[in-house]
Amino acid sequence: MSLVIFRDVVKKYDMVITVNHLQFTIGEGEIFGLLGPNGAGKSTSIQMLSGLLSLSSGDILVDGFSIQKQPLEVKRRIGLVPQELAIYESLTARENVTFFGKLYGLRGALLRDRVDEALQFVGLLEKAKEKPSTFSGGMKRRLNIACAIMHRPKLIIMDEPTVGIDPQSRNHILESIRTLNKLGSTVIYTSHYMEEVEAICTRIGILDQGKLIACGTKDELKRQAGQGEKLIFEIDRRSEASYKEISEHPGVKHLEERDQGLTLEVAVKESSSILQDLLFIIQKHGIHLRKLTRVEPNLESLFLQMTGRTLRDE
Amino acid sequence: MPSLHIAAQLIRRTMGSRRGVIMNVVLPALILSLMAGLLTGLNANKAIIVVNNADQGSYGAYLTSEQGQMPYYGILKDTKLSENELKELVLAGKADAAIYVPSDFSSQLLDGVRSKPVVYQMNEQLWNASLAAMLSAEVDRIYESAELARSSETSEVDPTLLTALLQAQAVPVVSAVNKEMKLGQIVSSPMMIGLILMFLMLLVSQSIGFVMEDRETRVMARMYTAPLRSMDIAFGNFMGSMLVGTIQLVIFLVLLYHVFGYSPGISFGSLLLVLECFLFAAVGLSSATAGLVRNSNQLSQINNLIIIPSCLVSGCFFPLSMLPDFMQKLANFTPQKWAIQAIDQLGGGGSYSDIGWQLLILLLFAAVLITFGSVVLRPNRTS
Amino acid sequence: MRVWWTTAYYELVKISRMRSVLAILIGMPLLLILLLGSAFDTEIKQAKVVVFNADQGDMKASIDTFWQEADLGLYIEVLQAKSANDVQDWVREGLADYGVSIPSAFSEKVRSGNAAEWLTFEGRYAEKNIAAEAAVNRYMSSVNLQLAAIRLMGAEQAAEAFGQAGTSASNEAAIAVHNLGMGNSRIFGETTAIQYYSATYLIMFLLYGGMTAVISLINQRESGTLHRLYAIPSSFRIIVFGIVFGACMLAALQAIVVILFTTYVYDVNWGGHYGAIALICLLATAAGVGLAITVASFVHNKKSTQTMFSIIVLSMTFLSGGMVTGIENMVGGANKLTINHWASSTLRAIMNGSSQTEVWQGIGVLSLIALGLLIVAVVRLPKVVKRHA
Repeated sequence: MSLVIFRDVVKKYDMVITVNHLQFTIGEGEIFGLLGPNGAGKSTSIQMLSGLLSLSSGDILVDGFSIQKQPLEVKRRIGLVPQELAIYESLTARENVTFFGKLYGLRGALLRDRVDEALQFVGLLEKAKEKPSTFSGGMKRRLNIACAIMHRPKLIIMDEPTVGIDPQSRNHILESIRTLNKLGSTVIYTSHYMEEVEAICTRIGILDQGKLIACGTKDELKRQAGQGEKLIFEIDRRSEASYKEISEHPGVKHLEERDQGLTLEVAVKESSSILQDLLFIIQKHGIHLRKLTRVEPNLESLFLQMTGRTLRDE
Repeated sequence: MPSLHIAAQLIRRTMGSRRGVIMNVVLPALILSLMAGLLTGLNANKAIIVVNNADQGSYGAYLTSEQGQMPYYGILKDTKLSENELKELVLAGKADAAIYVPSDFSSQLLDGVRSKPVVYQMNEQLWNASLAAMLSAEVDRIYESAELARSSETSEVDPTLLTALLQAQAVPVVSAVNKEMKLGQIVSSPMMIGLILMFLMLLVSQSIGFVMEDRETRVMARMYTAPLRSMDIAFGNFMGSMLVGTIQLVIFLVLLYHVFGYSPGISFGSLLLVLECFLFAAVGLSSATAGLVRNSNQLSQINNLIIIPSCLVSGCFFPLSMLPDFMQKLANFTPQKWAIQAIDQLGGGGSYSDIGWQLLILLLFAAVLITFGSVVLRPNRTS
Repeated sequence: MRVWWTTAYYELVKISRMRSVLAILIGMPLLLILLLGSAFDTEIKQAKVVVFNADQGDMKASIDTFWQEADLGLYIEVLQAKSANDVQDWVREGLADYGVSIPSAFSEKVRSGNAAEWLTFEGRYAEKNIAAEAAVNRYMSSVNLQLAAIRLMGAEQAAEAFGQAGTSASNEAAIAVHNLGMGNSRIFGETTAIQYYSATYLIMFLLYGGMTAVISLINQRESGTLHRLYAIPSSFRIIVFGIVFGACMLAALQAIVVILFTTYVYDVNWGGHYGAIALICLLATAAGVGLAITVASFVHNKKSTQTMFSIIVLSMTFLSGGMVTGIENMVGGANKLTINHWASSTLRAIMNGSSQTEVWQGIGVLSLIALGLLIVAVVRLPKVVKRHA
């Protein structure tokens, strides 16, 4: 059952198209990663989904409700964790969460419980009476999350929630996303950190220049790219014979020499079955192995392959 | 009602902290009370004029008694002071003007020679120029009377006829009768009301500043992801600004009416009504200004540039009539002028129907400006 | 020296990028001087008298003539109303300062020897009422004189006597008026209103210019750039001094613009001793910087510094008579404790050409104040520029 449906969504600013006929669905219970370099249209898509931007054409459905026709029904079902720290510095953590809770129509004992729950969840219950101005960057990020989940939204949207924070806080946040997901929320997660997306997302969409260039589970994407594993041997001397022998092994898809033949990059179908063979060949020719590295296929290389550009350093 | 929460939030931010209470309530109230104290001290000063009728004869008395009829001067007669002493009093600032009638006034009068009464003043102003004009008209009248009483044959003045003539004039046949108009006191001494207007504008601009801040920190965008309409947020912000102003207004007025005993001659409720209408216009003005600038920091600076001069031009601190004509016309484009005029009318005993026009203008200001400014109060969906 | 100059120069560049700050520091004093100067200029503003003459009798013409003559005078401007109600409305709405309504039966009543009246309506302003009333009284006196003469001497003899007296009647002034003040106005002492306010607001905004320096220091402390400057192999005090000096150059610019603009556009006479004026401006700026550093060293953050400093400067301006003139005589000498008093009054002394001793006395006191504040400022400076001091 699809919770979110992007139906041919287009967003134009003046004449510039930032989101170009975007079309995909997100199922209930997924953690959907939206990946792409800066300016790919991630934030624009997120803002259209949460009603902050109007659509130029197309429609977005959440739980069957159209963002254009029934925006309030859609908004009731989502919780947005914005990229900016959209919290009041002058209010205490509890007051911040309470204020947004009220905007969602919560009140009385229910409001109090939910605020406690949200603060507890992000680990700020002890700091509830303190103002964010005394918080570390990571704590502010967590408060930022608390403000978006206290109404138990079906869909939680995280717009780059880990930008510029320390590894511990990052892990804490990633962990809490998993927990939220287990508790029944569907999560949309945008980032340009590949590792994060790979680590927590069940499905991934890759955006580039406003277009969805790939979408699927991690494995599907890798298959789509036709990528396998890679073994890298660093050896002490070059040997034409061993080179020939390795390249002729049926499990090897491709072999490449670098560093005057001192590094061999071997693309394989599956490493576990042929590693033994390759090591034997090397030993047989009296070559000493200095270092062996196994490289799994990743999204970074996938993206590079699809667009000819890297995700970062834009 | 989500708008209520947004409004409450705005109130809490302006007046919720100790700093907020001090800056937005205590300090303005202190300044207002200080001004109330100063102004009651200043109001009662009529010009003091010392008069010495040194005239040996009897005709000088007709001159000086004439001045006593004027209701505006606090005349202080003292025949003992010499001409020089009178002059010293004026120079020392103890008297605003001095009139000295020379000792030979009557005798010279009978001889047909003018012995001039002397007026001392620091410098010429409208009131003392008028005093001098009036005095000289009286002197002329006495001389003319004397000339009438001068017999054409002997060239001698008939003293009985002269006295009779002067006495006949003392009971005038034609006179001017002043009809009490019941005019308000506010246009002519607007300081107190003007200060309230200025503080209201400053406070409103501050709450609009907070709204701007919400836009910059994207808190407003976040609010909008809650199940709210754009109008809910705009209305909440508008209502918040109005409420902040109203709360402060009520505190000011209660303090002024009940603690400092200030009374502009208008009931608490009527004054509140007019000032509420003004508040609408002020919220409009401030949000329209906010629409013109980029961030809240700039807004506070631009506001200084708008609020203080517009208060000066609109007659908040001194009567409008002191300004050159073109500036008086300029004042028509400030909401303060109309608020002051409405309060003045009410103070002069006018009814609500008399100030309908002024209130309408204020609300018109509000409508036009809020249309311009509503962009600032609501989250934007386009950019 | 090079470091000092570099910091000062970049400080100026940064300030020049803050357009709105510049607009306020330079535009506001000019605007305030214009507004207050023209509001309180001492040119006598005529009282507007609205007149409706309903009289149809034989005195109508003489009454009309009387008002026409009054209109030519200095003190009164006559407006003609269309009805008796208009007269009241105009006064109530403030279109006129005083109203006179002459009833239709006026001539008739006078002729029949009955008491006759004009109706007058006083407006809001006492001095304008006085002026209008003086005019009305003048008419009343002359009519009363004629009536008295006719009653006592008979119509014919009176007419004859008037004919005679008319020839001898005064072209001569009836009274002597002596103005004891030197200038035009009492409240502004011996300067004009616009001179008074030019001096007042130049000083007030120079003090604010001093605050700009300190705000810049605090900004740089908070953003960390000041910290970075510690690392430069040069005396840190020189650098801080450079930053402060940059703001002082802004103050100098302010002073030059205000003085030139007021001189050429508002026709303000500054009295000509530009050396002394520059010295006063410099001392006022120095005192402002000293005061701002002192304030900042006690209240720590930027917003509070701005608020506190504004309150202090505005109170000083108020106490020294910069907002409500004459207030300085009512505050029991508290005005003499303000920077504004010494700076503005000395500027005014230069304007009205007072003696050199008076001017230098003022400058002396001002330099003592500035020196005192600067010493305190130097002692307290570490609290402002160091993050954890």
